[in-house]
Amino acid sequence: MLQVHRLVKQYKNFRAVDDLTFTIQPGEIVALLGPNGAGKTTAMRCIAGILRPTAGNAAINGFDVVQDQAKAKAGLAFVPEVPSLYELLTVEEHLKFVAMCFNTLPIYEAKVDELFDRYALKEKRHDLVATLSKGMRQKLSVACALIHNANVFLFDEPLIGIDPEGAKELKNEIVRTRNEGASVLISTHLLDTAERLCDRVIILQRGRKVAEGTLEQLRAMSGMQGRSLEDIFLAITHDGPSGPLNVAPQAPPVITVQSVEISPPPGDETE
Amino acid sequence: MMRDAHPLLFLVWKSAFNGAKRSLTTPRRLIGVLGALLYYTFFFIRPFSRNSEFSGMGQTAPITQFPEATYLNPLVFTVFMLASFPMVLGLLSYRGGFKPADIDVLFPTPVSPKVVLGFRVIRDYMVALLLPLMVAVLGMRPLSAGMMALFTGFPRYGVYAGKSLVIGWLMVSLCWVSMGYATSLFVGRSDLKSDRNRWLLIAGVGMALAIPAIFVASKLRGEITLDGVRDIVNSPVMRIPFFVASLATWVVMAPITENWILGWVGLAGLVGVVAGSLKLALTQVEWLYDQAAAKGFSSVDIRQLQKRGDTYGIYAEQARKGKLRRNRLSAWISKWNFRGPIALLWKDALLQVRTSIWSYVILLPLFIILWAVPIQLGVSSSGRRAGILFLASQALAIFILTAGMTQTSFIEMLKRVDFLKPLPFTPMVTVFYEVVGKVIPGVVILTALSAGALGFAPSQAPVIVASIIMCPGVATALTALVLVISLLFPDFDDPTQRSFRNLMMLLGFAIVGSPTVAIVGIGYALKVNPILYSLPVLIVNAAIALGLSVLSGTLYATYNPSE
Repeated sequence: MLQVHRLVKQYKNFRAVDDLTFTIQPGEIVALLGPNGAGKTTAMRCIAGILRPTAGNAAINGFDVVQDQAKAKAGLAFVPEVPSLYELLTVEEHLKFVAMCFNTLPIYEAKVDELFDRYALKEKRHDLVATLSKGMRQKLSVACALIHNANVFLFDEPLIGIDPEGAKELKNEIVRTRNEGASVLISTHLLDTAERLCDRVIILQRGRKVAEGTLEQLRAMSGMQGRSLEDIFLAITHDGPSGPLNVAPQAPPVITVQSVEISPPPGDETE
Repeated sequence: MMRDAHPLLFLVWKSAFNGAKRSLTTPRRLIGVLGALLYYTFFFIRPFSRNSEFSGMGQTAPITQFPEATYLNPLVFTVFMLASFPMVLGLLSYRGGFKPADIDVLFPTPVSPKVVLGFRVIRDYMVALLLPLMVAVLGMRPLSAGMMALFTGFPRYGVYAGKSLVIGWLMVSLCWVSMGYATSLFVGRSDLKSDRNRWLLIAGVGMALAIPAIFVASKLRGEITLDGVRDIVNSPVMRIPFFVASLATWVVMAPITENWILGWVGLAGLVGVVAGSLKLALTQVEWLYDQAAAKGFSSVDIRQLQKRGDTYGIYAEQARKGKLRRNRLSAWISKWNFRGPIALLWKDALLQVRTSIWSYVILLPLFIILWAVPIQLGVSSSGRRAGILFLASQALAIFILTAGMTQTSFIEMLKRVDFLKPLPFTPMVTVFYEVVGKVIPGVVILTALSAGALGFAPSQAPVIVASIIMCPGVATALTALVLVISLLFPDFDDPTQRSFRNLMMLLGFAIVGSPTVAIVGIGYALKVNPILYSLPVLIVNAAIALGLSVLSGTLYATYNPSE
């Protein structure tokens, strides 16, 4: 399970993530949506223990990623948007290195051939990472995420640069991990994929969560029955002079549709 | 902890092994490695080898009188202090060096940041120790000879002083590496406190440098004597701010003064500084990943561009960050209108003004000095030798401009091949205009300087006019050669091929420049008017440039950046 509570990441005068709270239950896929610069990647990096939150916390399987880093990360797999990999390791060595870091060499031994087959990496297993195409790197990065016993998966734009066959396989893999009880958070701009793949959606804008819920719940709350996620997303994140379309002019409230309630901002009782 | 270290050891070993193996995989890389090895052998190792003429250095002229300890102490301190200056300034900069892969692959794993920090510190220790080790290995013979000479008649000093000097230097290196990590983590955090910490550190370092500087300046006003200098260096105003150098001096001086207690205190002090710094670094270790990631994300593009030699890309990145502004000249050039391939010249003029103008400004004083010396000689002597020296200066300036500056532009050109090739020009035309576009700014600058020189040395007018005639031809031929070499060895990411490309370029310059040298040499020997032999030089170089452009055009037509 992934729990994020009032997470803040501040850079000098810029607040990249602002008071972000959500929970992903085991067996659930949640899409993290937002326009460019909304803070999706920063939020993911905070959850992955790469960036240190300025305030708030993230917990993986109950372990805080700052206070109890090793235990938290043991259950985590992170697939970055454009994975930077160790160029001078072979594909096989790269997987082995990740398995060593997670102390899961027996799992590596058991799963490595299957992963190579699944992601068409078998013929490349002895090639240096430096020689791989962008799509193959993405596949290797995904394979690295699956080489240990993770039950919380963070995918940052996982389908960018992968060929249709690889994308289909990855989507199947994501569903498979969900069915095996993992909590999955996917950051993506592919709204149709998010619509089909995810159980729930979180929409960020300027670091703040502006909407959360299932697609049906979002439709109901935004009064856009029968519309696509794309329409709802554009309506919520539309940057007109008065801010997002469906919220108050001053500060956007969080539409917490998960529990079918609208929580207005503090001090604003008019909504 | 040790278990966490295994994957890092695996990573270091496998990366090093695969890197070495990779450098032997293709003929181009192999040639590059062999070229680099030969280069280092001839330029660095051979001069220190047994049979070299340098190996006897220091064995002649022994110092018969041992320097008094009262003078040796401040001398040793001064050496350590001066060696510390760059390291002191390094305290203010980020000390990381993490790769993007560390951020994406290593940081999200359960490997402890303490282990990662430990590995990083050990690596930097190795690097810090590498330089003295290289000096020790390559320069052992001359160093030993120097020590023998210094301690002639004082063998007991020599044995200990050499060892304590090495220990002192090693400890100083370790001190600065450790302090660098402690301060880097202290001031480079992404929270607001780090700004305050940074200012505190800047103020501290500034005072540590300013107070001794003011002290020295105030003391050096009167008559300067050797004893006066010694007293200045021995003053606590100097010794306290540079405490690392002071402690190391105690270590080095202990065997000479036989004050062993002070020596051990110095060694303990240095060990204490290392331990204290590491302790401070470890208290901040939770910020290690955050800092590296924040720095890494902001600099990853720049680093990748630097690695590829993509200077234009770096400027573009700076422009995106608002660090590069339009200048008036580029705004003026951008208003010009051209048709056809001349647009390539316009594009080059704009790019060079935006990216290289400061390089030209920096080089200008060098060119003026290169001009001034022969011109001054010419004014005073009006001799033919001054004229030849002037032509040699001109050749050197052309070499600097072509070898140093056009290579980057051609790398840029080859990287933008997907944009250039679909333009409605034949490869030959594209290549020709690209070469001319790169030559023009340099030729304009050199011609302007030569024209200016005419006013200072009218007696040298024939040779100056000759240089103005020869310059475009020679510069175009050499620039065309740079493009041929860039097309032959276009792997920008491969450091060995990069080194080899540079070597090939030097060789190519020698070959392409030889007809010019021959014609000028014959003309000089026959005492022909320089203007007369400048014309065949121009024609020959124009022919060479044309030939090389044809070759470049052929290579460019089949050039595939994916290969």
